[in-house]
Amino acid sequence: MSVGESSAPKREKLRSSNSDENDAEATPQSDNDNLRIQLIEAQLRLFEVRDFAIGASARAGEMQARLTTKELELANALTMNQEKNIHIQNHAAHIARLEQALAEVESRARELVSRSAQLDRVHASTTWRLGRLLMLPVRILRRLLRRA
Amino acid sequence: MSTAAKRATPRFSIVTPVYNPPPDAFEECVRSVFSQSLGDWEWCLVDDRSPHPWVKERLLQLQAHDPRIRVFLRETNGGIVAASNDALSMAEGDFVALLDNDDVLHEHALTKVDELLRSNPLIDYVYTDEDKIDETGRHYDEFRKPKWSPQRFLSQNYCSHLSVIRRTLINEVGRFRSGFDGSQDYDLFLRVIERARIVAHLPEVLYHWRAIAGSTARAHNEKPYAFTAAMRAVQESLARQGIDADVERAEPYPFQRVVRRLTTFPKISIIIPTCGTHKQVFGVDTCLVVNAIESILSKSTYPNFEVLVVIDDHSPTEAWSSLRAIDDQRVRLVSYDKPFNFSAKCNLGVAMCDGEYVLLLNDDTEIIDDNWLEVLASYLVEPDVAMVGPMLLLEDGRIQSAGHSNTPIPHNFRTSQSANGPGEFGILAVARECSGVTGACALVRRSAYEEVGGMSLIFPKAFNDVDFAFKLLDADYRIIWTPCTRLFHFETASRPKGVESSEVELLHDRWQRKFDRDEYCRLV
Repeated sequence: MSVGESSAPKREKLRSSNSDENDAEATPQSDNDNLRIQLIEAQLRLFEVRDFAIGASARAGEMQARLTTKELELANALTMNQEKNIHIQNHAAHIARLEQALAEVESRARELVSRSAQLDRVHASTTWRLGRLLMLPVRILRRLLRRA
Repeated sequence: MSTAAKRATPRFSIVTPVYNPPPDAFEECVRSVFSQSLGDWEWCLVDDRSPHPWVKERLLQLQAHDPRIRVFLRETNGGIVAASNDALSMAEGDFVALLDNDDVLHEHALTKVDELLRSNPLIDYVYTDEDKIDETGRHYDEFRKPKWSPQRFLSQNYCSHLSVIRRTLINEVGRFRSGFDGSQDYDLFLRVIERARIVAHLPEVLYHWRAIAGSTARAHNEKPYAFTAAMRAVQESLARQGIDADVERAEPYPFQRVVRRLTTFPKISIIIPTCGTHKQVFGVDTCLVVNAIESILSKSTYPNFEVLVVIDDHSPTEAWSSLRAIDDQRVRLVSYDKPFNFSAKCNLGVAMCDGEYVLLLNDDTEIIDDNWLEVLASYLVEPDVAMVGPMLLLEDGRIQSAGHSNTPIPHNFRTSQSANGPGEFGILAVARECSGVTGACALVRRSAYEEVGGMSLIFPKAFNDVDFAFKLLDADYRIIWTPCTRLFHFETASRPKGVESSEVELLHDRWQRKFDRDEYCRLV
């Protein structure tokens, strides 16, 4: 075989190697192989542990980033809500002012109708008619004077 | 304001050498300075004896109009370096902003730079994004620059406009130097960054560079002497820093390529995970891993490397026998008997090798350049560089990967695009910092690999390289992508295709905050 060849470390293999260690026939070469396998396995475990820790830290960072984003979104939403509330309050105040103005207009209109009816009654009264009859010569004279 | 009254030191000195600018362009330049939203500036204008008499008259008129404007009229024409240095001599501001006499500043340029400078008092140099304006006033070529990228800066003066530098530092490094005409600013920046405590990027277009006939903005070959000066400036910068490197022109582009010379050759362990797949390569049925190893052994000139093939137990017998037949002591086989997990295979290879550097290599690759290992290893001379990746090409010569980009989501940058161009703003023509390189070919400093826990086993198929790169970046390492060496990558021929949704979710769980904000590659 021209190329070097080896197997990935296996726990089964490691266990059998350990049992060999207890045998009187264990050789320095097999001890070395054993140690080498243990070393590689330890290194692989170390990779996993480090990745786990870094991964956990990354996830924490991610959660923090998402929390910050949410907080910003919430703050923005609150600001927008406040602005909307102010807008609504302004609208409500405007509507209240319009309603008050409308009530005033309606009240004036009612008063106008009432006064108009009162006037109609005056015009229809005998007193008013007699008065106009009595004043007729005066009105004619006034017109003539104006023409002159 | 009385000119006799003692002036407070301004925050910014805008420095502008003037020589026969187009009148309309100069007036636009003037308007842009006067419309700055921050008023704490002085403008140092030096007329380099412009032949047109209106220039002198206009400058004196401006000086009379605003006490913040300081004008010096040179009696002889001394060229841009002399005029710029005269302007620097007049400057009294804390920071110097360089403005050409026909260019335009964004109205909030100084305000925004000031905000950034106040955020960190250690910042000595700020550069911003820029675009160009043509004769009709149209804006184009918006250059969304990377964050401070020292490797890229050695290849091109990408910082350019707008540059704002602490005045004391400019004086310390000796201002502009004659003999670098056309690249005098690049030469100055190189000397400045050698001493700057922090170089900061402001990612907004705050400078509009006018492109008119004869200007460098129009085309780099308008001023060929400028390129020669740029190369010399880089060579001198490297020499000052004691860096032994070759500076070559990145033909046919107007950029430099800087490749450090190796004085030692640390052992490189090339890890090739494989399951002995066959595929048609260049029309021939090929055992991918054998092809990859043969190309490594036949081409590589690097004197100190080994190859570890991490091969699945269940791989075809033919593959095993072909590998065993390779007559080279540098090649070792490591059998792998677990379900497919690319990360686990890489980690196993690294654990079983003893190289100072490890090179992760897919079996569906083929070496093109003899000096590929030398080129890749040269970047790891810098101790904060943890990983380097080359340009990877598809079988038909198009790009397979030019590094990673995270915008909008992590992906191989410029996949399937032509490899025969410099890319936007030279991004494909120069070595540069990036957010990751594909695990198909990545040279990694072993200590960094171990420090971040290697490839994560939770990503058995996809994204293991993306996750790995993020881990390195989080540990404050730099990752370099280089076009200075190329490999073929006959993509995804050797392992299950497709992406597991669980891997996507896991990547989001760890790194979603990094998506869509790749600071090294802001091109879309």
